Amino acid sequence: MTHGDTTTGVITSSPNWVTTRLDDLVNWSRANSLWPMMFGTACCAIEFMATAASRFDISRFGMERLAYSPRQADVLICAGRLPFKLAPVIRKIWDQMPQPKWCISMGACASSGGIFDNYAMVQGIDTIMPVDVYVPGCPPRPEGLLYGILLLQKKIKGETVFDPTLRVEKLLDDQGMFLAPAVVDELSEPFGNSVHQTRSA
Amino acid sequence: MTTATLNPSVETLKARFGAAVRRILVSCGDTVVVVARGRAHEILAWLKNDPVERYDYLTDITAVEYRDRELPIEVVYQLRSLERKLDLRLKVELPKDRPLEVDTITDLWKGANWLEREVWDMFGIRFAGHPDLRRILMWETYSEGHPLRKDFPLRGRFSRAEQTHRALTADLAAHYSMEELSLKDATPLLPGDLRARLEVVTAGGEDPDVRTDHMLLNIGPQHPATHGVLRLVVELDGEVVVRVIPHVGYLHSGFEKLGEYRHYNQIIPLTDRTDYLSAMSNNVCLAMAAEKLMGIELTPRCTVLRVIACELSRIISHLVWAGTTAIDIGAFTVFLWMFQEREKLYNFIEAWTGARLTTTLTRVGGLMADVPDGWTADLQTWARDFPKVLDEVEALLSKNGIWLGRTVDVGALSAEEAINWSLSGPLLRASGVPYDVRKDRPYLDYESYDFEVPIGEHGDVYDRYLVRMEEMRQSTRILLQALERLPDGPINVADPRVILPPKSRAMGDMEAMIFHFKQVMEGVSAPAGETYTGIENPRGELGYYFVSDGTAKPVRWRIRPPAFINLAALPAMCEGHLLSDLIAINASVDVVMGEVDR
Repeated sequence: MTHGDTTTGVITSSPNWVTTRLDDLVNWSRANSLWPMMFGTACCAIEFMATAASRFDISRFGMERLAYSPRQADVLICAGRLPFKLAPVIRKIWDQMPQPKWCISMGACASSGGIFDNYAMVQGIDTIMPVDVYVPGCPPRPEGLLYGILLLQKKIKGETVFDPTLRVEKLLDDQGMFLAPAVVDELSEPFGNSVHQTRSA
Repeated sequence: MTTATLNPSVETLKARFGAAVRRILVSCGDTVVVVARGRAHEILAWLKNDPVERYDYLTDITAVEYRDRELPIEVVYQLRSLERKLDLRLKVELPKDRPLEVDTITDLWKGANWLEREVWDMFGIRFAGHPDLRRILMWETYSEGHPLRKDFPLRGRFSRAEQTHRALTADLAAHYSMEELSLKDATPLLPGDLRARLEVVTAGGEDPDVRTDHMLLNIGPQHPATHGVLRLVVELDGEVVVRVIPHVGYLHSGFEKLGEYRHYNQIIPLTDRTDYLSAMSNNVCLAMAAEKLMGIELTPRCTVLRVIACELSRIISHLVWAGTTAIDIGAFTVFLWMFQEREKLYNFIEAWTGARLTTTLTRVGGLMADVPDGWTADLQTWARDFPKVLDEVEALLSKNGIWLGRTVDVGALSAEEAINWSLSGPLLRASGVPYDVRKDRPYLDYESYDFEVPIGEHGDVYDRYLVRMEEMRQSTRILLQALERLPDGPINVADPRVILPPKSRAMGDMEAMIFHFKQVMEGVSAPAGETYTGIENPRGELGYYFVSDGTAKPVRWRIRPPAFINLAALPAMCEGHLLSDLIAINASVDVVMGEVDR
């Protein structure tokens, strides 16, 4: 008879040894001790603080060790809007994080620019860096962020250590861009209500 | 408009300065004096220093450009006499065919420094004689123009790809001027004994302990103790802070520009996101400003509910302040206790508005919703218990040796300096100035509530802590009185021009349908005019300055940002203190970067 956890693939028939796939072991340990790099800029950062506090308690998901240094972090959580003035900063922080690393874009502004379709705001951080999970909301409730974290854990558990492309750094190209200019323009086009926000009188 | 509302200083101004006083207007009860460009500095200096006039407090400096491009750009000075409880607005007109320039008033008020830099950044108006006229919200090498000018497109001049490219390839050093990073001789700022020893060394003498090399340290913009994306460039002599240069604008989101593209009611969601710790009182202030412009009188129930909203905001904001400040100084427990109370209040706020943080509570002429059944009784129970939590926190901190050591006599500002820096809120009151907008310029019937305004003596970090703790108690008192007196009745004014008809009627009744259509499609228009409306926010005096040209969208929506103006005084509070004190002092300012950078 075997005892085991079907989600992690860990199978044991004795207290002294286990058999499992290497992927399952690596992914299990990675997914359950994510150290978040908190990049909190605006309102979403307050909801992140609520998530970290006693009621929602982010440590239930192995994330209580908040890293404020990018060099000791696994997952960057961009909580809040990202103006162009801050774009080189978050890019630098992302480049400083060692592999393996993931990114959660928390809230409407980080994911799409939100209500700030204007001269100051990056229209979604995915125009300057890769994103793994988007959490919608303005700001998302703590439950929303926790759901995003669970989705990220699910994604990590589907990875394999034998695919070297997963851990390749996605650096800026020689033009200094993350995406091609035409793609950035297309991603940043007004949508929804902001289409109508062009007249001032 | 009757002459009764005219500010009494106008007659003296006219008699003294004659033709330099160009025009006098009264709009929504505010007196506006347009003065000649060349004599503005002289008039402002006289208003500040004259023993009768005593306009000692500079509330705000901003500028207005009208949609009619022929009209001159105006620079607006909002003044207040704290003792006489009088407000006066001065304007200088700058025709566009001549260089946009006016004399600086940084020699009169230190608080003018950042405000003038912001006007330069956003409008391209030069202030002659300003000691450091650089961009403040946009970065130094920003080349698209001055965003609040009417010929500047909402989304900027470049394509998104070009903006992204320029941002990503920006030299980080270009975010600040290089000469600022060069070390200057800042000996006069050092504490006495160090200064004396340093002078020995610089004169060629020997002192084995003193090294004259200063160190530059960059803190932020991503740092856990800067309370957001604030960046401080610090020049250190050993552990002693010689100079601090705050860099703001990393969260500049173009709120004021967006406001010009929106109806008055559509601006309310924006106010949630400026100072996101006190969204509800921002909503209240916005609605009050629009109502003043439109001449709307609130219902009694709405007035009391708005007081409840304002005081709840003050409490939840001070709760975050206490929690995060305690973390900065090394006490984690307080953070968890404070967030526990905050979560209880979130439940109340969510039941009322549907959101925890971004409430969008008010509408012009009323509120988005009444409070649910049983809500007031539950809140009463909470408010009776809450002071016990404050007692527990005070038992933990107020006599704690570490806490006292880190806060007493740290970062003190005198009353005179605090006024000169245009500080407001708990920061100003901790320095001993009893200015509280709720008492000095009452709104929402605050004069009929029984509460006290706590005042500090020393203006240090400890006094700021005591003032904020006591403010939470006083807010609880106001809350209980408001809940006690909450009258029945409608929450919205009975005016179909500003308040949407009920959905049931809008679907069946022709007249209601027309009003619904007009409000949604055209918005509520305000008569031409202008108003400054200030309220006491958790961080200080929040003011919304509206200029209307008679359409449904304001010509100018100016936010008087208390956190921005308070932060400008940070160097004055830190210099000469230890680096570790810088963290405590910065925490005591209670900045919210969303509001600082707007």
